[in-house]
Amino acid sequence: MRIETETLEQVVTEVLATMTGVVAFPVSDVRASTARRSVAACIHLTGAYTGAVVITMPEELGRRIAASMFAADPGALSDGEVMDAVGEIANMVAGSVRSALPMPNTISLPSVSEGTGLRMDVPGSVAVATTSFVVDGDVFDVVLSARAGEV
Amino acid sequence: MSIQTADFDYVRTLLRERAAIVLEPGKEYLVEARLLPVARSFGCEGLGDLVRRLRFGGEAPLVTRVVEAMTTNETSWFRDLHPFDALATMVIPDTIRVRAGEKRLRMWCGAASSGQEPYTVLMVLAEKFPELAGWNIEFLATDISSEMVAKCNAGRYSQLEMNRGMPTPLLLKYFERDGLDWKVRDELRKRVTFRTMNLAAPWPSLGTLDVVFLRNVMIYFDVPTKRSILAGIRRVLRPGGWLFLGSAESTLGLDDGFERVTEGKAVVYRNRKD
Amino acid sequence: MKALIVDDSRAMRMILARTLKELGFDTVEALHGGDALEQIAVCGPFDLAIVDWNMPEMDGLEFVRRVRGTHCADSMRIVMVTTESEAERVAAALSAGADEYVMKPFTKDALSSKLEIIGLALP
Repeated sequence: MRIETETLEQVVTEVLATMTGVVAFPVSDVRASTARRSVAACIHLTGAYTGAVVITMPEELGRRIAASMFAADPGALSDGEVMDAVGEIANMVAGSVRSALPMPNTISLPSVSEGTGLRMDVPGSVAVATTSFVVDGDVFDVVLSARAGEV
Repeated sequence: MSIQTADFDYVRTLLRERAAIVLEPGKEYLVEARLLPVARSFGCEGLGDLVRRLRFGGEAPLVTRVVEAMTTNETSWFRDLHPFDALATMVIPDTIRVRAGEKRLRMWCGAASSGQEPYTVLMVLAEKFPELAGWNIEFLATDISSEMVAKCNAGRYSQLEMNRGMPTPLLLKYFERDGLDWKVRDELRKRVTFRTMNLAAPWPSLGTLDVVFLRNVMIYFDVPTKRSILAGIRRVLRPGGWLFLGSAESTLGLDDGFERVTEGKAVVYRNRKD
Repeated sequence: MKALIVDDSRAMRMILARTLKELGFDTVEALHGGDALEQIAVCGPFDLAIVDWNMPEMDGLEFVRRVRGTHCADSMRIVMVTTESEAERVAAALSAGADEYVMKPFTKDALSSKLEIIGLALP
């Protein structure tokens, strides 16, 4: 299964610009650092295409994105609210990108985790498209993976 | 990044001379929003650099792109709703009566933009007037921008564009999924011809028309150009034929050859018969 | 007018509530379909329900079926606002009784244009 990195870039920038007003620029030479406290959200796709969409970003950036969704001060948001917001962004990204993937497939509810040195793996899957974006100096990653053998 | 006054004035003059478009002071934000992407795609460092190249280089593709970027506007399906109600309840039934003998209907949309309006008109016709099936229907849709005409022809719209004003049953009936986008089905697309046309330049031959759509484009023109466009429409519109304008537009004080007709919540203009 | 917002994401409920308030609605929130049915029983009737598809407990499609099947809120207009955008799913939502459909991500303009289509636009 081939999916253009450009497709993923288009979907992510569109979702963020439309729902949060945050402008994200695709970058090719950096990846998100998980040495900082991070948030990772995962959505599973099952059906004619089986795989996952994983978004990993610094917690501070997740907080800023959540702040624009909640129309609240970043510092006033709970960890749960930040995770909810990043999970919903992942949901919209996965929901949009799957129309460029073999259909029908269903998407799972988001799973979100938060911590330092975070690494979200989908066992048995391989990355088919990895993209990174920069927002005001913070970098976040979006990875689309497919079950091994499906690529 | 904000645009310098001198650069803004230059863009205003350029638009006025090349496209007879009047850009009011205070629209700096619009110039920035529309021209920054053009500047980037031509490798300019910013708007200042773009205007410098316009001034001294005078490169034709650059000038064309600038005019195009400034003349495309936000649009939606069934924009303002009411004119399409009037089309279905009054304008098309009247036209069917008048043209029953020759079973021929000719329409022109003069500001097709990205195509939502002509395709909306076609959906109204297909949904409400099955009796037009055996008719010879000619529908020309034009826009000043070649980029827009290409988009109209492709008939491809993003999910964000489909969300704006499209009744979902019609989405399912007249569009199909194409990757991330939606595409107009051929049965609808083949019923309209798209071409470029500059309303402020001499017009190509349009024949005799029954209905003209010229919505939300007159606002960009100065008064002499508005007058000459309305006079042009009267020459191609049959006596008793119909003209749709945008909700902020009117023939009032510009041309008294049109009769103002109210239908429901919409206003339509009719070419006087005398 | 009163609107019921049914979405499992708190961030999305906030965005929808803000948008609907700007459009002149009073809003009540529910976390999933089952919660929404209870809200209807307690706070009903609503003029409008904005319903997500993928939710825990009871999904949006099942909620629409229950509302239309049990006639518990016949005059309530239902707009699905969801990332589900496959033509077959959109069709399934309409045949279950949804009045309109908005695909996420969406703008305020898009939502208000859909409300206008179903006759819920405020002056």
